[in-house]
Amino acid sequence: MKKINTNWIGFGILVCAWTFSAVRYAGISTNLRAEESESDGSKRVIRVLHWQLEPGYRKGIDHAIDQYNALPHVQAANVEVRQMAVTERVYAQFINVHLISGTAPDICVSGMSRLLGQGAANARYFDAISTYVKEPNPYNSEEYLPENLDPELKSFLSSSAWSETFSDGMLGGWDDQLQDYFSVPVSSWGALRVFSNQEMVLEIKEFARKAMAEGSAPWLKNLLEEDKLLTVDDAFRSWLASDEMPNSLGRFFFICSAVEPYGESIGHDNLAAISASNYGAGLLDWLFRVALTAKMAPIIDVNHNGINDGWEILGGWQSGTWDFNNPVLKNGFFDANRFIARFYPVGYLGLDREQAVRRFLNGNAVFIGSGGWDASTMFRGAEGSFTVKVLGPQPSVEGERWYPYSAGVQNEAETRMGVPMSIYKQSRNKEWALDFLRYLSSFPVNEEMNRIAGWVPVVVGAIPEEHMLPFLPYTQGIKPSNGLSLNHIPPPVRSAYEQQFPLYQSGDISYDEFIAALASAFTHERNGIDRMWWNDFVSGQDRARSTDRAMVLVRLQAEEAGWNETLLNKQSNLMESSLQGHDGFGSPYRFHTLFPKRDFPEY
Amino acid sequence: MGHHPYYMVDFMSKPIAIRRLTALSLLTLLSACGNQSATKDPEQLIPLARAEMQAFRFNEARKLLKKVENPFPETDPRHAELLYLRALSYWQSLPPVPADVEASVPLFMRAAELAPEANFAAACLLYVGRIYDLRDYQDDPPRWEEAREAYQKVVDNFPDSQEAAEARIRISMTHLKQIQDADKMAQGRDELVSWLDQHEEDAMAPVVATFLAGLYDFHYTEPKQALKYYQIADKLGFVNQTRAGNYLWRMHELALEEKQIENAAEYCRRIVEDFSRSGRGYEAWLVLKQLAKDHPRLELDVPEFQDFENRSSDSSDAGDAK
Repeated sequence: MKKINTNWIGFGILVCAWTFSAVRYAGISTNLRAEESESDGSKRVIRVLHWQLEPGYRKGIDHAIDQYNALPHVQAANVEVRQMAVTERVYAQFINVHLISGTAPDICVSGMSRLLGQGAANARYFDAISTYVKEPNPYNSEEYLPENLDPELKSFLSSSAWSETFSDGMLGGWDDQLQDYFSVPVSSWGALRVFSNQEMVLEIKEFARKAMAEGSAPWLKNLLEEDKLLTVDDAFRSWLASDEMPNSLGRFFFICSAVEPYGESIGHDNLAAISASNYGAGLLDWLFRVALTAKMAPIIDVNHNGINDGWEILGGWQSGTWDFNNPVLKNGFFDANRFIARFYPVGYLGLDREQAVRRFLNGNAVFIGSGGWDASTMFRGAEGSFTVKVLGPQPSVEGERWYPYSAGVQNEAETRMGVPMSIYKQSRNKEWALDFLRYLSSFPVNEEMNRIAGWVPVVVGAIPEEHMLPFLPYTQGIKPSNGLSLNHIPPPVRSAYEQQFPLYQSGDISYDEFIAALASAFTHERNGIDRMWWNDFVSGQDRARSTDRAMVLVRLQAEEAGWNETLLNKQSNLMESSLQGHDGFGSPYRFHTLFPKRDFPEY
Repeated sequence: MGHHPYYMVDFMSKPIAIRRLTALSLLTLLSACGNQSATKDPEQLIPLARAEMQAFRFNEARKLLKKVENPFPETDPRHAELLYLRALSYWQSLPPVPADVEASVPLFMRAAELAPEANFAAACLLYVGRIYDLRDYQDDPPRWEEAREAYQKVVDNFPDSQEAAEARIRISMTHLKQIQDADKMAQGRDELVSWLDQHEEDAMAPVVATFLAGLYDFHYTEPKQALKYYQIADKLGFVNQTRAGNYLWRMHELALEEKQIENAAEYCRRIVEDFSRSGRGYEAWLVLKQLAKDHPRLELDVPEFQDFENRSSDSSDAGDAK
């Protein structure tokens, strides 16, 4: 029998694949051609590109688009807005290719792409909109606002500058390096929170009440006498007897601690307290990271700018200003981190986001940490099974284990609005793109769009869906930058922290072993903290160069328009950035201020 | 093409798609081989180059200008302007080419020499200073003597220009960058102090005041001086309003150190009322309440703490799915 040449099979597959892609390509092109014919017939198509594929978001945008397309002046101009939603897995590549090739859609959600995070990329690819944000938004004029709206709010919205009508003053669209507005934020996913299964929490409380009445349960004895989690006083008893959700860090961990014995008592061995995964575990950091590290701020923040920068954390360790045996860190932050890991499912780092969400929605976990972007998924997924309650900040209160180390919960006052939409520089429909963004960020449209989407609106006075209320920024608390972000320390030593921390957290190594490993990494000759100073110096010089380029651009504008107030202000702001970075010598400046007698490390 | 900003629109919709695709590939190859974007019209060179640069396309401007002979006679002001733009494109193109960066220096100098009255003449000299001062490419050492010389020319030849203020500050910074030399640092600092005394009306004055405040606060640890310069910057108006809340917060801390209770309270009040989005609103409000309690004689006014307007009173009870 004649042997089949297997090469032909491969060739055949290749031909089939080619034919399939060619047909698909031709199909898509034909559709686009049809749209182009519309353009030839003077129809203008404005495309809006984003990556928000969460349930409801596209529906919300579609609703706003349909209303806009139906406006008389839009129809008269034969303009049509369409949305393009691209999965976040390929969004960065998609937008990069089209920005560089000059074929990007008229409106793009900026972000995700590294290209857009570099230096002056915003100015290269998108139009600055500072001129327009100072004027009122025409779609906030009284004729577009609901009749029954509070007259004061009505007057504010219709007369204020467009930027002032955003809850964050439009800072979500501001580029501090270029000193210009480059995008219009249209939605906010709100803050990080803990979702809880209300019925289960109440059952656990009842179980705990019984255990307390009996007084002999070992888990309770350990928790109160060995772990000293909290003091059982009248306030605690009253909370335990109520149907209130946990409202302090100690009470939250009390419920978590009772989950395992409760699960055993009802034969539910797989019940986890917290549905953690490689995605969600870090999100619970939110509960206590700032509170349990902020007391370090007075000794870390040596330049007093209100931020504990990476160089201050590491430089402070290097100079001996602080160490890991500081009680705030050892008995506060790291202790709480090890404590919380008791409540994660075994092997949680091998689980992904979907698995964690499924565990929670199937009733196999009591809590899960996430943000407003998952709210619709949680509420819809739990419908008919259990009640989802969202837990707000959990402060440590007197008598609780970490109270002596806590500086209070963090506020979210600096929360920036999200989904920043920018106008592509090479768009041929800039004026319509701008018009649509004004429409989308007007009070009634933005409120309704975000209510449909299940997100938080960005306009002052706009009310989100009721289930999104817990995700509104919490303003009472300390500034988040008071806290330490040890997982964001500069790269030469960050990897050591990232490797050692999970080992410590899971109990594989002791605290002493953990800090010894860190000390070894911090003092490493090639990749230790000294390397950070050098790396900072190199990147600082690049930043100085980039700021200088922006100043050149302002001067080019001034050569044509003359030095007006806007340009002078912009140039002054850029000069301030330049001086804050010591004109490229920020790292040696900081190093020699901390270590006047040492030579600057060079690599 | 119509108004469509999108891609692959025109050339795949007909039956001869494959042939067109092949032709397109060939065209792409050919255009890549002979990419010459230079315009033939000399009148258009300057506006085109400026437009490219204003769109941050310095590389495209460089392509446009590099191989073109300057079509204007030296007596024509456009000759100098073209030199200036060419130098700018050489200097700013990315990635930086050392030879191009170095070549831009004589072009800037020549442009300034040919057109000393032009509105870009001061910038030419300032940029020469920046080239010597900053690291433009790897292994580009700072040449501070040369930089100072160029900056000084801006100060001497164009004393009333916007660039003169920047040049003066940059001269001081060349001293302040020599951090291990305390005398040089002091020289730079004193120069800035002296400049600020004489130029409080300049747009750069609050910038210099803020910088001096930070310098005294961190490097010299002199809280009194730090507060003094923050107060000057505040009086002149902080240029970066997004950082103003942080500056006021630091000012309240320094004022407390200096026992200026009323000032500290005033800074806190302003944070609560005007800069609550800085993230310090609540803390400032607590400090203010405490100060009012500790110093009743001062009769401090404590405003109500304003929460975000669209927040519910008890958010933890919202979110009910059943």
